[in-house]
Amino acid sequence: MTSFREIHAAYLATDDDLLSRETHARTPNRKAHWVRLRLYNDHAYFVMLFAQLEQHIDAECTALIARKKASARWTVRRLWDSVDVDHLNFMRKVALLTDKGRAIYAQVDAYYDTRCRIAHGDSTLVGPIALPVVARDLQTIAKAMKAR
Amino acid sequence: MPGNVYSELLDQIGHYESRTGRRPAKIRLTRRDKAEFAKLTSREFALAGDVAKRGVEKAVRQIDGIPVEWDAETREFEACPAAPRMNGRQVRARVADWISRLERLYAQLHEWVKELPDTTTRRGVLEQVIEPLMMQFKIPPQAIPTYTIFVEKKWRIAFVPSTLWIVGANGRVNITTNVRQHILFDLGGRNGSPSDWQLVVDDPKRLIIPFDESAFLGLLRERR
Repeated sequence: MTSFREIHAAYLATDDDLLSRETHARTPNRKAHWVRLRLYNDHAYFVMLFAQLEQHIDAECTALIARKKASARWTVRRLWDSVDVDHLNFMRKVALLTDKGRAIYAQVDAYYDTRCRIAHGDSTLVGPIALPVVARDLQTIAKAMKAR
Repeated sequence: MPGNVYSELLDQIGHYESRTGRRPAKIRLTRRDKAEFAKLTSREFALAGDVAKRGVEKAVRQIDGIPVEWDAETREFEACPAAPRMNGRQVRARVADWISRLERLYAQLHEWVKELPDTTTRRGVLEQVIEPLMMQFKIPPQAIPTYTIFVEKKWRIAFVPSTLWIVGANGRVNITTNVRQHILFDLGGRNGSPSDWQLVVDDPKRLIIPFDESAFLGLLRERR
């Protein structure tokens, strides 16, 4: 999550600018225009912040799998030997780092759903995002997702 | 990964997720799939020993956490049921609740302001931004309350509600001071729970802080 803080700071600056333009818009149409741009700004920065989490989870999974593959006991190693991090989809990687029954798994699943909707062009179905709140959640999730 | 029925299914689940953004609610597998599962070794499938003892149907009730139904005609992934749909009455109730939560926020602000010298307040209304669910159920925008505080007639802090439906929160209020703009989110106020107003701050370690009296007084001190 090396660029997480900078991305969030860039979001605050751009949201502030768009909000200022929205506040000073003189007609409802102009106001609606800036509201719409603010929505796309939310989505763009959400995808970038989520990518930081994806990168973190990739790194943790790679470390976990490498450690398990290096086990001296074949009974530990045998299943891990057939696991390739590049062939795992995102939620399976998450499941390697946290119990599927935990609330944090469901939270990642919900945010991943939002990320997929935006990335697949369904932006209008998502609506605006409370990005600083989501950013805090993503930080908490990243802290919990450790190869240990 | 080795090409067997199990790894093939995991790949298909992955593709399904990538394509739809969701996991399937159920997987229906055929008799042929069942026969293929019975052939798997413990190196290929962790439950192979259990399969040998109890049979495929009893041993394999889920794959990757997704329930399995056996002996289907064709292999199928059942889509997750759509989230329960809202109706117009619920959307109207949510807007009414939004207005009540805003009124409670302004009542709290009024309590904090009334002790301060050279301070006046003004309540106003603003036509609500039309949100997609309101459009869907043809619910007209309501008059949403706003709250403005004037300090020494020169400094102004305006609380202007923005969006109600927002991912990660239960409503957003924009705060404009003479110096800059701030964002307030309600993280509570669901199912009868009290509001939990949080102020966005320019602090990369905290990101948001509870909007209490001290945070409010911090906004009042913002002067050019």
